[in-house]
Amino acid sequence: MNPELGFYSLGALMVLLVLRVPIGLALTAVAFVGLYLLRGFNPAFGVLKATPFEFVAHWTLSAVPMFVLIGAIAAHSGMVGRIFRALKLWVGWLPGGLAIATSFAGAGFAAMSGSSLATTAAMGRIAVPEMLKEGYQPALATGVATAVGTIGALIPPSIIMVIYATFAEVSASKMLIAGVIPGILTAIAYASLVAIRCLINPDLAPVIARRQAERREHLRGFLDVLPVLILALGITGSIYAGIATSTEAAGFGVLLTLIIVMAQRVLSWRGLRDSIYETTVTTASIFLIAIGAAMMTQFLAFTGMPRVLSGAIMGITADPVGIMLICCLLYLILGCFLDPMGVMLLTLPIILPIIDNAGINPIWAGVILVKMLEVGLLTPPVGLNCFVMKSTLGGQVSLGTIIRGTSWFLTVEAVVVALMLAFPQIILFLPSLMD
Amino acid sequence: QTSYVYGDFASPSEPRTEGSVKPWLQALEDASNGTITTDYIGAGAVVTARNTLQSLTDGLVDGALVAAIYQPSELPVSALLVNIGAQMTDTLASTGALTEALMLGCPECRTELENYNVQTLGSWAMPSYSLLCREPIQSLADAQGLRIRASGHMVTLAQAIGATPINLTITETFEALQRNQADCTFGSIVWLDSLSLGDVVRNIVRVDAGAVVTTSMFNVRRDLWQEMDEATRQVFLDTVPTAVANNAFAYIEADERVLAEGYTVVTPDADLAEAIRAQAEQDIASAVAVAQAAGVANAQEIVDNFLPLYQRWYDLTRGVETAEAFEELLRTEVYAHIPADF
Amino acid sequence: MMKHLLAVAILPSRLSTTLGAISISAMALHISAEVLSRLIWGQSLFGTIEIISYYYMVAASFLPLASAQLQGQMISTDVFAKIVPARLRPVTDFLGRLVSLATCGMLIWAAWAQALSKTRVNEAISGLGAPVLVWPSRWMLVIGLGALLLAQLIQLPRGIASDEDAPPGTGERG
Ligand code: NA
Ligand code: NA
Repeated sequence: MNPELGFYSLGALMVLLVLRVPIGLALTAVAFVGLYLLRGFNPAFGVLKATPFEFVAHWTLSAVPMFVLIGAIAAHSGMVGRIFRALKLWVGWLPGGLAIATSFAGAGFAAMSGSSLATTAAMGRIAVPEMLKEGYQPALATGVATAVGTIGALIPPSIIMVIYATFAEVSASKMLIAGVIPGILTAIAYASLVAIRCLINPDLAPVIARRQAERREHLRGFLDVLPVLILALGITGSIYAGIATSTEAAGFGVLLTLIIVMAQRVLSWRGLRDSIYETTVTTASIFLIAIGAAMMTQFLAFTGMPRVLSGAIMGITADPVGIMLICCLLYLILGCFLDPMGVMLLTLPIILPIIDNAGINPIWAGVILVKMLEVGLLTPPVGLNCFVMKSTLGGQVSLGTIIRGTSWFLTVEAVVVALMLAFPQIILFLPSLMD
Repeated sequence: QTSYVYGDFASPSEPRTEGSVKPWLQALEDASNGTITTDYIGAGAVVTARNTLQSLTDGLVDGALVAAIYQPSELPVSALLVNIGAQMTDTLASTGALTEALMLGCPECRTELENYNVQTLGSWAMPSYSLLCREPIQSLADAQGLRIRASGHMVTLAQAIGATPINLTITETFEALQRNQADCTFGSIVWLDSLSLGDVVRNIVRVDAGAVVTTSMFNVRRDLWQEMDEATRQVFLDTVPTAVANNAFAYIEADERVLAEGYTVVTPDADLAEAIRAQAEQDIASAVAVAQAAGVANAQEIVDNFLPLYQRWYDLTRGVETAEAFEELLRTEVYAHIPADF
Repeated sequence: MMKHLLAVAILPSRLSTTLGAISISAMALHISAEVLSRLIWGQSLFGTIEIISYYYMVAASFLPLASAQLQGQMISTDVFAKIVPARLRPVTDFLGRLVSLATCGMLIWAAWAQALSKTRVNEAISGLGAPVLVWPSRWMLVIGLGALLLAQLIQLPRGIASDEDAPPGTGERG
């Protein structure tokens, strides 16, 4: 145990990022050197041998490439363009209308996707190119689509909620249902932010004139949106009907998407090929970072740094809201550097006993903590959702622009977290109906 | 001065964490008068169920539960014991017999672990698995055509009772049971609590499916063991029987706690119980064949020695009601006979 | 000379990415087949979870890495690099590429050692009743990371344009 080494390692990580070492490799290098200093060469080398393979050889993670692929196919088939034609007709005339539509589309997609990263990837493909084409400011367009991904972990299915429930020994079904209202609340908050910003500064999003549409146009709009409704119903339906698990639903969703685009005759072989190739490159670049974060987590666990950090913070107050505020702060700091699963694995053993002792409702605490873990996906320097957006868009928009656009939504997150702290019923109302 | 880091993949609420592992680490520090310092890193932060063996080999941690079920290629002898898990329906008998086999009776069991840098000090098998079901399954006819989540030695048991075994990860099991994709899962009664399965299934069918075997739960990586002086090793050997006994009872008590929570407990009809027992007998031969194919030449002999040992411990533990009594038995039957050059 | 080197570096990247793409497609088909098989015949396919986890996922994660590098899709943060004065950038970037190269080299060495030892014990994991071989998949790390190393070597002297400068929608820039 050597907490100082833990803090130094974060400094070393920053240096490597300044040198523009790819993030996955920077995390790997720091973790390897750190483990070498703490435990010697063989243990450090052993982690390099075992972790990369083990981390990705994981069934539930297969949902990530599958959802990336659904989005890619949808984009290449032009389905997205038609959806936005419909959305433009209906809400596009609102200030920031397409960004508002993105917020709610993200909440809808969250009901199909178990992970934040997959939701962000899908929205990056579906919504961002259309907003850019309409002349939306790139920071706004990418910011809303990046942030909206975090709803993916709040609205069920959610992998991270199930894992928290397992650790805290609370009912997984209550935990999942507890995320629904906070998820919808987040979408509304995002939409409000977009509307307010665009009212104040109309340059952010060119106003699309509202015009009187004919019934024929509305009908065509409905037909354009129909495939998405079929897809959403097919994926969610296959889960709730017990045909597929939420992991399988992702792969099954690819088949459904293919059937839909083939029925519409809107995807060329070349489009399909490109979708698949893009998905492979995106998958590899995301997982390389996740692997690095996993190794960093192993190293930091050895330093005892997270334990010291949380111990120091917990020494300050005994009030439930105070404790939760401090937990949020802790997660905000750790979330800047680590992946959500890593932060949770490192801190739950320390935080859960404190929550228990203070008599805090573990479901309330859990949803707030998951929310904070998701905020960590947006914060630099290691903000995985921003990276997913970047790799989804390729060279079109710089990472700095994405981070800048996302930071607006962090202020909204602060409001949402404050509401959840002040009004626990936001979280606890739906689970209380299950008793 | 010895520093000992125990890594575990179990969640903090798993019975073994507070019931046995952490008290053992404290006992090591106390009994050594400060010459041993310990650290516990749990919750899968450094080791996962799949990599504990490699972590011990490389010296990433100094002690960890080796989940032999994930290492069939590396530990074929341990895998042989895992594959006859259906025989081990009593947790005290199997924990005692496995500990004795690993420490004294079965040199092959020990040396294959030693080859991976593991000096094993104590074993464990969970209380016998039940069927956790949406509906109360009473007879063999009730089990026909059910979809049962099964892994390891329980796959053939599911087939033997006319059910379809399905393959799901443990985290997916909750969802599958909730959404009617699976009718039952083979599992530990504790799961109703620890995995929240009790929210979706209310029936415990006590089919006595046997347990998942852990040949090395308490251990020290071998290079560290060899660096230790005699006195330090003795501290480990003196404190570990308490930990083995506490661990077995932590799970027995956890089962009892869950059983008191108002589930429907079904004692299966004779035809269902017999179908399971008959398959368990047949599985011995296939477990031996698998081990032989993996290069364990005397697999049959190992099983022929182990089963009477299990029976002996079954008889020995009939009157055992407390962890203290079990610990005493472990000390007199196993740990008193450890050779000096261990 | 440079042209030949490029061709040599790009070929393994293309080949391994193609294998990655095949894995992604196979993953979708295999999962769908599993779902349909259970729906229609009430029967799980053999080893779906194991084959997807241990083969398709590993292939999709490591084999396309070289393409990600050559297409400039390997994610790094440009935000922090801006604190370096512009005339020092070539130096820091070069140092960064050396660190990447060394890290990648260590990962290959580790993957090689792991693949060898797992091949020796004929590593397998139990599927529904029968074992699924795992060790062949370990070699995909060596291949994928090896192709990545080659791609990095090619880019070592010249570097990659900062993505701020990159025109939109660029394909392979290697
Ligand atoms: Na979701
Ligand atoms: Na972050």
